Amino acid sequence: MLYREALNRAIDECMAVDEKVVILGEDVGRYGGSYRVSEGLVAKYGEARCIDTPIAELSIVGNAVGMAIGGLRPIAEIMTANFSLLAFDQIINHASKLHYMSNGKIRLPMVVRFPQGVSKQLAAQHSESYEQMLSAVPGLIVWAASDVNYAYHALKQAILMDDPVLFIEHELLYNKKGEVDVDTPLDPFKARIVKEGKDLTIVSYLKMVDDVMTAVPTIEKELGISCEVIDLQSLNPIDHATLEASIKKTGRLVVVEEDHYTGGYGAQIVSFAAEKLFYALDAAPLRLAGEDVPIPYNRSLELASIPTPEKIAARIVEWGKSNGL
Amino acid sequence: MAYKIVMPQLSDSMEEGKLISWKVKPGDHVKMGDVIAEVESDKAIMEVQSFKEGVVKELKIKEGESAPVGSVIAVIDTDGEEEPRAKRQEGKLATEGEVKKPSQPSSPHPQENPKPSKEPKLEAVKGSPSSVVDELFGKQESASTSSTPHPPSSIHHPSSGEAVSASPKARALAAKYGLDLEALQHAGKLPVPAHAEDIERYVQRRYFTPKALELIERYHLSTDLFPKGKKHTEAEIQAYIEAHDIPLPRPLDPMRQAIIATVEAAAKKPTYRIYDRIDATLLKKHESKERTLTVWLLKLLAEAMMRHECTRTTLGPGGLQVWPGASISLAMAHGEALYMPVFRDLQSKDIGTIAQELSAMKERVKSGRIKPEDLKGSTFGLSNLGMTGIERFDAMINSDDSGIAAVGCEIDGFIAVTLTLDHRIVNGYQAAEFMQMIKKLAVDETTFR
Repeated sequence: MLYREALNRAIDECMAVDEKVVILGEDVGRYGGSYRVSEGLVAKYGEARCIDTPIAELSIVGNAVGMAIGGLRPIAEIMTANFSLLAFDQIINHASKLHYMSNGKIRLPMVVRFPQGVSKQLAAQHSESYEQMLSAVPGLIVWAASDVNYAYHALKQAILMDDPVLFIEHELLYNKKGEVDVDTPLDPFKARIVKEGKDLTIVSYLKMVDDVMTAVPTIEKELGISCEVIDLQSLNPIDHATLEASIKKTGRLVVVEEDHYTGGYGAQIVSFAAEKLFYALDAAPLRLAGEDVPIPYNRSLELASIPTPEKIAARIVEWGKSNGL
Repeated sequence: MAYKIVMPQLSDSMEEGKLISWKVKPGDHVKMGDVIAEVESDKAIMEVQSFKEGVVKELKIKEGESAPVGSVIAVIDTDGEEEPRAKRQEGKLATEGEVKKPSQPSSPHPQENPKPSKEPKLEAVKGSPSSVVDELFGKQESASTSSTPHPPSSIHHPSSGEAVSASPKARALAAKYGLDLEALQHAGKLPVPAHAEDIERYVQRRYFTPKALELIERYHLSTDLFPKGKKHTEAEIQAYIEAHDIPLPRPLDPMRQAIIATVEAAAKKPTYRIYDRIDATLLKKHESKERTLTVWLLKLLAEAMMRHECTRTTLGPGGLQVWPGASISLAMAHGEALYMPVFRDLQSKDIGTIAQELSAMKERVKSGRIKPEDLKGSTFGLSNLGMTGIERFDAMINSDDSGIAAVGCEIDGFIAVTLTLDHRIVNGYQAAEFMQMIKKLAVDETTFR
């Protein structure tokens, strides 16, 4: 099953069992979604539940908040992360805070979905990542789907949950193939150990997980070690237990993220390791992230601005050699 | 308090050191890093430094004398160390005078030094039983120098210029084992920076002989089972293994796994056995160095198989399959290795060719260079233990074969043959006929052309 099909199936199944589930966003209805995630849903559930909205992100999320207060289970789609900036007031001031401000009287069973990250030449205003800002908002659950199976199960649980979930996808993952085990539900708050190893923990999320996995054979061969690769999946809250067990085992931590280095989300993971697991660390942690530049349009420069499998392998091998590996 | 300087271990093999010369005498004031003596190890002459500031109280051995590694060679009185910094500064200036001051402009201010008691390793060292290592590296006293650059000396210096450079994990481990990282790095016994693996390796080398380590590894034991503080020998590890009745773990290699799979599959087959013996007269008559009994038995069996197609039959998913040629799997062992290589289409091969193939296969078995295709395509098996003096036995059927002949040794001109057969393919009557054919061919001179 493709990543986008897994998302589609999750929404479809929820809409089928609960008529309170509605989707809204730009082109989610008749067009089937910019990345075909809501393909075929309007034919099944009608325009009243698959709502094409004007190009106005603040109103998309604002309407979703209102629907959630009123008892519906809206799934708002923002076409790309950069456009979500227009909706930040609704996401941060309303969706994530109303439960708290109302002393628990208001629940917001809603999901805001958006793809983010560097695709292919979409330029600086359509290529950014905002997990660092949105993971810093108390009251907002932030999940990032790298794995197809996770995409299906986590989105389903996000829809059925009574709290607001920010569901992050990646533009280059929509056509990723993967197995979906429909019958075995998973805990969406748990990180996934993509590959077990004993010498080095590599933590990542979203598309970088795949790039790390591409780089791992080279790293393992060149350094003669075995890497443990962890896909965080839940960015807020963080599955600290899985991280702790892995870092204690390996003593070495590398965090790989696509977003800009300065202020990037990976710093949070390194901070956790340094503060809580200092005496388990056998080397200073390494962060691999994008350059501190707007994402360039030029393809060569675009690739130069973010980690690639080749760069990930080279940097980790170099770092490993000077850190006792 | 008294700071004891011990005979340092300057190389792995060093057990005692000879004091070449003292650079200080009782009553002398020494600063940390001052060279106090020259010591000769089994390899070279090296300088011994003081890691503490104080007054030389006593020199325990004379120049030219030897002392075992770890024994106290000098005592330095460090009284005043715990006094307030300012007071000590005053005292120092008063006793040493103004002249000394310009000679040490790069000396860091004492207040820049971290408080020794804050170091995590200190608690651990204090809590651990005293050991050679503690003696050797002056226990926690030397930690007060941990962020102070060292003065020049002939001993290897950490390249980074920092006194201690080790990962947090390495520091935690060093504390657990009561090691003084600074002294060990200073002596070139640990790399700079040091990682956890370096500490583990150092502790292992320090407390276990290489043969002891080998044994620990072979038995999958943990070095934590043995108290640190003394060196463990192979004999001690062996005694521990015997006292605790620890078996030698032997993971299954691919060969053993294949054997287990084959014999387990064979044990599930519906089999029966028939027993008889064949006249050995002609076999013995034609036996030679090249044309061994096994070569002739292959030939004999192949001839019989060509006359009984049930022994050239296998059972597949689509039903029975009858194969045109006589292909025999032969049990061949080399040490623990057991193979059933296949000799194909023997009906069309003369005895010389079969002998050549057998000796070539023996070489491949010995060198372990058996190819997967060497083990495929048989319909009947042969196992000959006659050369070992075994009178009679029965064998297990190999992979898809319809049966196997187990051959014992010659007794009174006869050789015992046991056939084990897969009843799904060959019934008892067919087996009896097949056995009669073998017996008949064994006494037929034309078989031996």
